[in-house]
Amino acid sequence: MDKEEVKKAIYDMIEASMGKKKLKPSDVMKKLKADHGVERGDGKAALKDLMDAGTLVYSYKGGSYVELPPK
Amino acid sequence: MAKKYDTPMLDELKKGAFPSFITEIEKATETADYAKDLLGLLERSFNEKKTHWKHGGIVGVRGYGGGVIGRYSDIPDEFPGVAHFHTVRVNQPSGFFYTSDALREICDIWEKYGSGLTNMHGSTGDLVLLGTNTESLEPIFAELSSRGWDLGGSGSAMRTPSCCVGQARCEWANIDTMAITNEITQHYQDEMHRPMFPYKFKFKVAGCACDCIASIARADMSIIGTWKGDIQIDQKEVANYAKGGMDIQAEIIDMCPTQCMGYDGKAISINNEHCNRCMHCIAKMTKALKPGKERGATILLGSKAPIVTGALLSWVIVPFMKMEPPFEELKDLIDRIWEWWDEHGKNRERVGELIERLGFPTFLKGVDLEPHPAMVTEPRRDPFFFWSEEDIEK
Repeated sequence: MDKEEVKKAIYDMIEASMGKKKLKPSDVMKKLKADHGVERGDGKAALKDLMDAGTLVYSYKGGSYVELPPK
Repeated sequence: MAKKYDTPMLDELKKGAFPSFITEIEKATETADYAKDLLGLLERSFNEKKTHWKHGGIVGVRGYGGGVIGRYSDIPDEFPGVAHFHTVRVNQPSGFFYTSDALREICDIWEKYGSGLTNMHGSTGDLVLLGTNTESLEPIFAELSSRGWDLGGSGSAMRTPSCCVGQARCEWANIDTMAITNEITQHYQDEMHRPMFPYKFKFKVAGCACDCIASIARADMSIIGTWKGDIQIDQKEVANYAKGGMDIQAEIIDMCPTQCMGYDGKAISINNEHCNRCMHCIAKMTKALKPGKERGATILLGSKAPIVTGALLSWVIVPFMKMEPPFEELKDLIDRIWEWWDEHGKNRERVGELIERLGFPTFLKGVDLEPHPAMVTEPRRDPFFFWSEEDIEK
């Protein structure tokens, strides 16, 4: 997968999880590896891009999670 | 200035000989409206014996997952000035050294965008700025970063590393604590600003076993300066201490935890093989005793305060490691530990708790460390690794 595809996979994963289960960044990395064979470093770089662009945001509730930004 | 709220309970806290945080908050009401409602909210909490703060949520600066701790009042209509009262953590310089200009710069920014209140430093070490609203976060970050400051860590991330003053101010420092702290901070920027761990991870670097920053109790990884070889003795200075009235037998020899020292009324002798490098004698007789010439650090892992489970102290995982820039051996060990913790850790499980859950032998194998008799959980306890079937067959 190229970086754009990894970013889309992360975004879709977070979008699908909203309102159900909060995902930690490490959950995202593990699922990326299991579902798409994406290495951790590539996953981290894609997540960093999404955060820098404001497409996704971090939240905190006893631990850190990845979420869609509030509307 | 007239008070916005009657605060009889808070007023009690202004009495007495010690500085009062209430007095300081009242002073801040002259420059920031936040402080007026903060006093009202505090009085209310004291009366009702319950907090009116909520924390967490989605709050921060773009791209960063840490550095801002979201703080909200649960009665914002009654105290609108503190509807948002977020905490901003600023990465402190290693060893907490500032120029007065740097402090003025921080305070000016904080009075412009925040409450003007700080309780520097937080227990992790960051310079802690107390109280601002969500809209001010990006401007604060922009101003801070344009002047070379950065936010510290929060959430499930590497927390801002901190250290004692080390070789900058202390002759006992066996390692350059400030250089190590700076290197960890710079090298692991992503790990600090972009939470990727099961939970928090703290580093504290102490120059010697006196451990002035209490790294053994307050850091997931404690890096404590030590030495190899014999303690250096200047017998002429020993005689001077005796001449000056020091009871060397009672204050030094009898206080040695391993009883490895002797004094014949003229000279001190040390059985260095039995010395556990506690620093007691060196700290008491600074002019007469110095650490051995080969310096390095003991690496310990696992301490934490009681949050999810009880408190732990760090325990030795590497008895001696040379500490020379660029600290590759240390960084390699850190990477291996994080990888193992990330793989096996549950949500909100500190690395020390994970080791307790899975066992020390599993940890040692997971991070490729050899067992060593110095790996004790607590004084006078056997090392808690066990022999596997294959070890017995060997």
